[in-house]
Formats: sequence, structure tokens, C-alpha cells
Amino acid sequence: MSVTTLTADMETYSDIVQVEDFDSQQERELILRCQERDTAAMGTLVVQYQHWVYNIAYGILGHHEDAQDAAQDAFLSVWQNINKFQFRSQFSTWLYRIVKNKCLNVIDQRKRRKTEPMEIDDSQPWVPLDTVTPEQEALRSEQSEILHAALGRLKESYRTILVLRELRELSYEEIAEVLDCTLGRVKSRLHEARKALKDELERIDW
Amino acid sequence: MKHQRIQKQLSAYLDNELAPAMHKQVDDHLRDCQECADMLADFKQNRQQISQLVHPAPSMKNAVLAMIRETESTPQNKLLAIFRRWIFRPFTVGATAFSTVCFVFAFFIFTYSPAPQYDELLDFYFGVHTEEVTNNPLKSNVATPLSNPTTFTEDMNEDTETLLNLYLGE
Repeated sequence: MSVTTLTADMETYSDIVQVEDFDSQQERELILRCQERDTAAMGTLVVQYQHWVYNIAYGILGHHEDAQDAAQDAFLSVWQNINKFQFRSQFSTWLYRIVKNKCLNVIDQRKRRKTEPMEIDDSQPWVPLDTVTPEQEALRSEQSEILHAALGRLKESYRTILVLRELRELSYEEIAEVLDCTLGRVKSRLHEARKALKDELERIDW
Repeated sequence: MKHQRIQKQLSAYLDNELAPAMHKQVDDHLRDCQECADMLADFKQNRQQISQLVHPAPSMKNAVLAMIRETESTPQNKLLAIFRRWIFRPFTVGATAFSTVCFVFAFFIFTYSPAPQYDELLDFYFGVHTEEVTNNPLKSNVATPLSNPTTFTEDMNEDTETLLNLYLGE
């Protein structure tokens, strides 16, 4: 599949599953074209990664608008710094690191503005990953609200690591790279985060 | 004590990140400890719930490309972009590093003056004395200050005069 065809196919949201099919050679080709300042290639990269970038940002920030802004800022940073990417690591981990930093910036801005740390904005519809009945959909929506509320009460570092591991399913090595810490730290922080989430859910009466 | 230690490993156990020996220890512990078994079950359930927290991402391609066009539309940013492209080229990096090394080397070559070497102790004292007299306006008749003795005498206080006389043996 050529890059152009892939771009056209991935324009719609329903093609998120195809993200995994995008092979590393195509990705490398796109990055090299971006380094040559090819905006069309950048557009393809955005389409390729927007789903996970947005969802990671949403998981950390818990707010649709903020997540969208952070994701777009992250892509802009990628464009501005793409020449610094030397293929020493995976592009995805480099990108997620930028996303995490953008989210931290948003959280800092919130603290300065003294707004609520997590305003739950669950207005976005669910992804229909499988066929569900309306009752199941309602239950799932309720569960998501509770889970979002619990996540929102966690420390930012716990939220980030849970999103990277549970939502994006990154390996411990990849998480260590994104968070710029050791494997041991990932292991212990993930345990603390899971325990904190469990306690928080029990408090909300999950 | 063992219970606490094993409990801390539950998360890594869930992710299959433990060494085989430790994995077996946790397995054995889980058979006897209901608290840890419950915690592991909760971790599993929460993991499944979070993995389903996926929202449809809005299309960002046009917005991002518009932002890129906007940031690069000003002349300053255009120049900056050209400079960035240039500076990160391998040849540029190599040439810059080479020039810097050459510059530093040349700087040392042209500014280096070896310290005076004295063969004998007496040479050393003569050398030091010459430097001291040459650089000291109170002692030197080479430098300018003593060429205008009137001004000098006017500015001189008593202590300085006494010391100078003592030094000159008068």
C-alpha cells in the first residue's frame, strides 16, 4: 500500500485499526520527507498518529478541548523539531514524549489559572469497538465516567503511566523512554498507580 | 514481610515482567493469599476498563497544517526554518566542529608565550627584579611616572616617601 493511498484511507476516524498496519519502512520514508520539509508527508503522519496522540492527551488531561490543543501543539513541535529525530529510537515513543510534555504544560497552565485539575468532559462518543446493545452502551458510558473521575483524582504521573501502559499498551522499555526514567522506576510507579486507582475506585464505590 | 514484598510485584506479575523465579514465588503466594489475589483481580479489571477508554479523535490534519503554514509564514520564521535545515545537515555539523577545533588550536598557537626559563638562581632574581622595577612606577626610571617628579612628589604621602627612601637606601 502506498503512502498516498494510506493517507486517503485514514482520513476517517473509522480507520484507526489500520494504524497498526503502517509499516516502519513507510514511516521512515515519511519522516525523511518531513525532514525535507514536505508538508504532505507531515499531514500523513498526523493522520497516522492523531488517534493515539489525542487519546493519550485525553487520558492525561481528561478534557476534550485541552487534549485536542495539546495534540495539535505536539504535532507542531514534531514538525519544528523533526530534524532532531535521528532514528535512534522509535518515532512513536519520541512523539509520545512530546505529547506528555505538552500535557504537562497544559497542567501547569491550569495550576497558574487555578482551575479545576480535571474537569470531566466525557461528551465525546464511544468508539464502537464491537457491537453492543443500548443497555451495554449505557453501562459502559457510566463506567467510563466513574473511571475518568477516578483517573482525574490521581497524581498526574500516575495518570500518565496508566494511560501509556493500559490504554496504549506500551512496553516497560518504551514507557521508560517516554518518561525518561529507569525500568525499575517504571515498575514501581506503575504498581503505585494501579494501587492508587484501585483505592480511588473503591472510594467512589465502583 | 514476604507478603508486602510479593504484593509490590503484583503489577509486574500482571504484565509478565518478572524473572521466572520471582514469577513462581508470586504464583505460590497467590494460592495462599486472598488479599493479593483480590488485588490482582482488581488490577486486571481496571486494566480492561482503561483499555476501552478510547475516544474517536477529531481530524487534526488541516488544523496542524494550518498552524505550520502560520508559523512559517513570517519572514523571520522562514529564515529560521532554513537555518535549522542547514544546521542539522551532517556536513554542516562536521564543518562547524572542524572550524571550531581549528580556531581553538590557532588561538593557542598565536597567543602562547612560554614562561621565562631561569638556569641559575641568580638569573631568576635578576629576572624578577627587572620585571618588578620595570612594572613599578615608583622604582623604574624607564616608565613615565618618575619623568614628572613634581606631580609625583605632590601626590606622595609621608609613609610612601619614607618607604621609598628606605628602599633606595637614602
